[in-house]
Amino acid sequence: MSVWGTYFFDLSGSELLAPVTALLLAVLTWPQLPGRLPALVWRLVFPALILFVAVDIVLNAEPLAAMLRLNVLLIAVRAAGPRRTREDQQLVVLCLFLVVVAGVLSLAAGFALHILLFTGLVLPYLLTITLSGAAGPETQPDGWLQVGWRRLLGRLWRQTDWRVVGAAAALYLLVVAMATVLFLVMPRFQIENSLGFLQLKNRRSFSGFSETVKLGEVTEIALDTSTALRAELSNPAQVPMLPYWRMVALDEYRDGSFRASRGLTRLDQDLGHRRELVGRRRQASPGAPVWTFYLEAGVSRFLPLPGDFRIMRLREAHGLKANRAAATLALRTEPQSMFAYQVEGLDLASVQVDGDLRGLLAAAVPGAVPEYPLTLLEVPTGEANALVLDAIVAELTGGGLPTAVEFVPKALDYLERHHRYSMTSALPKGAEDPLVRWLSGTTPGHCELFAGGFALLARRAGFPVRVITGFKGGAWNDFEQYYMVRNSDAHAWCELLDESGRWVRVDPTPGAGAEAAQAATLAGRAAEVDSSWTARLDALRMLWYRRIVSFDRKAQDEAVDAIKGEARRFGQALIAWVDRHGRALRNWVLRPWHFERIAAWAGGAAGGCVVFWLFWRWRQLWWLRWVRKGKMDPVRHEAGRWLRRLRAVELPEADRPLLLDLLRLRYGPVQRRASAPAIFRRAKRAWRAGR
Amino acid sequence: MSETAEGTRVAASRGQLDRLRVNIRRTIKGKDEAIDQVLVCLLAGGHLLLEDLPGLGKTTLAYSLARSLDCSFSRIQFTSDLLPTDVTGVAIYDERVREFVFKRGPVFANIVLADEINRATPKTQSALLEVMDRGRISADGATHDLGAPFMVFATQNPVDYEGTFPLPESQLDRFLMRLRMGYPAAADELAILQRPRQSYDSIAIDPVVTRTEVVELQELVGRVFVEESVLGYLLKIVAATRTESEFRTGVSVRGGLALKQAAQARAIVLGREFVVPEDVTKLVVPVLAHRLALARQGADALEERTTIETILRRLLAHLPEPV
Repeated sequence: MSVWGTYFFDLSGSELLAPVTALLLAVLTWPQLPGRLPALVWRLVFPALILFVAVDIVLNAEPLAAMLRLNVLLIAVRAAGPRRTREDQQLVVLCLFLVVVAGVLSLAAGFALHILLFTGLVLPYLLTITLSGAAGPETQPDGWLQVGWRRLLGRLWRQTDWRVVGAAAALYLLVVAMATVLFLVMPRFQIENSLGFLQLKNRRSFSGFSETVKLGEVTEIALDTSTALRAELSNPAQVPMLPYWRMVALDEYRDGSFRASRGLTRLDQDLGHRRELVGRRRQASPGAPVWTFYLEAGVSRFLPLPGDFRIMRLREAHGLKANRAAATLALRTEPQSMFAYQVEGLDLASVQVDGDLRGLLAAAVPGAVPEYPLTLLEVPTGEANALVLDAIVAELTGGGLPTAVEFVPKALDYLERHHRYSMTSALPKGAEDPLVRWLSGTTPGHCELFAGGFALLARRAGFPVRVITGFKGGAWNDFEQYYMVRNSDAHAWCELLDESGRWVRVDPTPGAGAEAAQAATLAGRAAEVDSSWTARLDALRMLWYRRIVSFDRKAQDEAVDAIKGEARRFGQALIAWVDRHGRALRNWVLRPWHFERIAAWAGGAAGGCVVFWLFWRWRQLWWLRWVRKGKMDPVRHEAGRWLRRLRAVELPEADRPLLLDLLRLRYGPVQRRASAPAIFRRAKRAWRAGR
Repeated sequence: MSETAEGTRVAASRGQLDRLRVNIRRTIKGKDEAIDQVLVCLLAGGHLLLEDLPGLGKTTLAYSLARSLDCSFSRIQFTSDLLPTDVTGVAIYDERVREFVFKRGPVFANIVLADEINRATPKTQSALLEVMDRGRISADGATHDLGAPFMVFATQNPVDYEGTFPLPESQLDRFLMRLRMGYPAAADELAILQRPRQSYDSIAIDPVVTRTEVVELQELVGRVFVEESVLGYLLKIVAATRTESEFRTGVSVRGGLALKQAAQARAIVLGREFVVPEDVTKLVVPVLAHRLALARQGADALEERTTIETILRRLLAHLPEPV
């Protein structure tokens, strides 16, 4: 049941379901099956598992998924293999772990049912283990070989006291009912924010930035303080001022949601599977830093980019999609683990120029449902909405046709005068569009409301505008010298197409301009330097990424080349040494063998043999004396070790004298130990046999 | 001869000890452990206090041991009117030689059975002190050696306080071991019931070990090797009794020496020329328990004794054997 829990979350492992289920069913049907297999098979299982996991991690680079697959396999081995109390308890723990992880990662309602069923089954199982353990050691170890389900169930039926079973079931249901009541009555808390382990995310549990953003969604992401993106520069002196990490461009607005319209997403260009991508910039300025980004799993499939680039390299080949119209770059699928990429020739001040867009807008024919690029001018329909927007625009423009440079400051000023910034916002009630309702009142708002409000006003005034979501700013981690962008830095802003066809960034959220001005005075340093303990911990992760998941392939290649070169040099030197000494030996052998020479060598060889024999006879004692120098007498120590080992096994009657010999070596007088090595060898044999 | 007991000499002693065991088992059924401990006490040259309810074979055991050895034996029934001179002997005026002549008391024997020792007055009990400690008697300015071996085999009833005088601590300390016989197992008791009843004097077993052999065995015990870690273990046990708050006082140095000697004797009894930690562990209660007293006195002697033994076992459980 716990193994099948993996089916409900997509972190892989489901491919093992069929074979594992088949194995477990087979063992359940024929319980004597594992006993028929040679013991060697069970000994080899664990090395094979270790090998499997190592290969799994190397090939898939997904430790969490590999861990879960390992868990499934361990359950299979433990459930199918021969078991005693210890293995039974391990099986329970392994299953519990899998059930809990499946529940946490899937966050499915079925988890509650899953854990209830599991608990209901595991309690009698644990009771059985405890009772059988209390009954003493199994007198007939191979008794289970004769297990027959029919006989066992028959005996269970006859022996079971159904009153006890009923009382236990009633007690269990009572506990579950009480837990349910407590769950409903007690105030909730965000447990996943409290425990790091529970912050594991997958596709289903957390969507991050996507092509559709409802009002308030970005602010929701901003409640999470975990790190979303780490960015480092090859030259930390060129740290930019308050960068905007642009991710998703949204053109269509409908019913309180901005989304990438179908027309815009149709312009997505599949770039295929690749490790390298050439950007729009042809040349990088000399000395421009190389940026390396580490994007955490669960943030988005859209890659945060603060501007145009010359070349991008991915740590591993990945399917890419680019949208030139929206100037975004995305992965085909959201990565399940940290995703790293490196960018050269990044232009933070770059402005996207789309000269054709104005023409396209002029030529577009409005339909019942606006298509891209008309979606860039789309405002909520309905007379009431139009009246409100027109009134505000008229106030801003005075009835004229202002340029973008004239319009933007006025609109920003209007928003700032009427609305305060707040992370929470209660929109006024009414029939109009939510954004129009917000614009018409003075309710405080968050970044999405400011960006959305500005977009509607600008569009009503005739300027094509799109809403951009991503991150703004971040903190500079001084411990490891990198940008640490947290989910709480999530932000929404606008891009407005001016008369010359340039997409100009406009951040309508109050305070944005002041922050930018402040950052600009920090002479190349980010606005905030984080020296907190969390930053210190985060630096450890960065250190891990740099050293272990090292992006810099060039450095890795150099290291490999250096090792290869050193190995080659060592090999050549070794061959030369062997060759030189081989020649010398040959010359020495070929020299004339007169009597004195033969006698000297025969004597030397005899002496060597004697020394070798002595060493062989006493090798264990010499070795023990050497390793136990200054400590307890080595023979006593070794004898004590064997006594401890032999006490743990059942020795046959024939080996009883061996125990006395060992006792004599351990506690007897020192002079009676000539046969110590032989006794230790006997002890070793007896221990192996007894084990 | 080397300082330590030779393995061959120890192996040879096994034959003598086995003969003794077999002989004693003829009259004492199902008490192999008690028999071994009596042998330990004999070999260690100590005195034995057998403490148990009446009718559990204490006197029979003493008789059987004495008869199995080719040694002189005497029995003293301790009563409240027994005088010290009744035990040690008395100088009387001999008309023929016209001077005082020392008439030896029943203590002049190799094995002395002091039956129900706690029925005698403290004065009479203390008459045994010098005898047990030094193996000789001083009377009228003359010293009389008792000869070797000399072993006092005392029995006492721990429950019956009516007309009894508890042994003083100084006297208890002179007993190497205190043993309890316990009830026999059902099968052994059946065998006892099936036999015709015998008086002590009719116990017909032949001596199987000579007096000289006993003395040699006792000499051999002193040469049994005790390894340093075992001595350290023994010392830790003794020290633990001194720091245990539930004991009024700890074991004396004589108690530690007694434990070592008894452990050496046990090694010989079990056919070893060296002591193992188990020898010490097994003898802690018989050798040390009667030398200790509780800080808070128990309701009766039996309860006090049980508590002391429990504390000693707890101390042992907390001291790991050296391996």
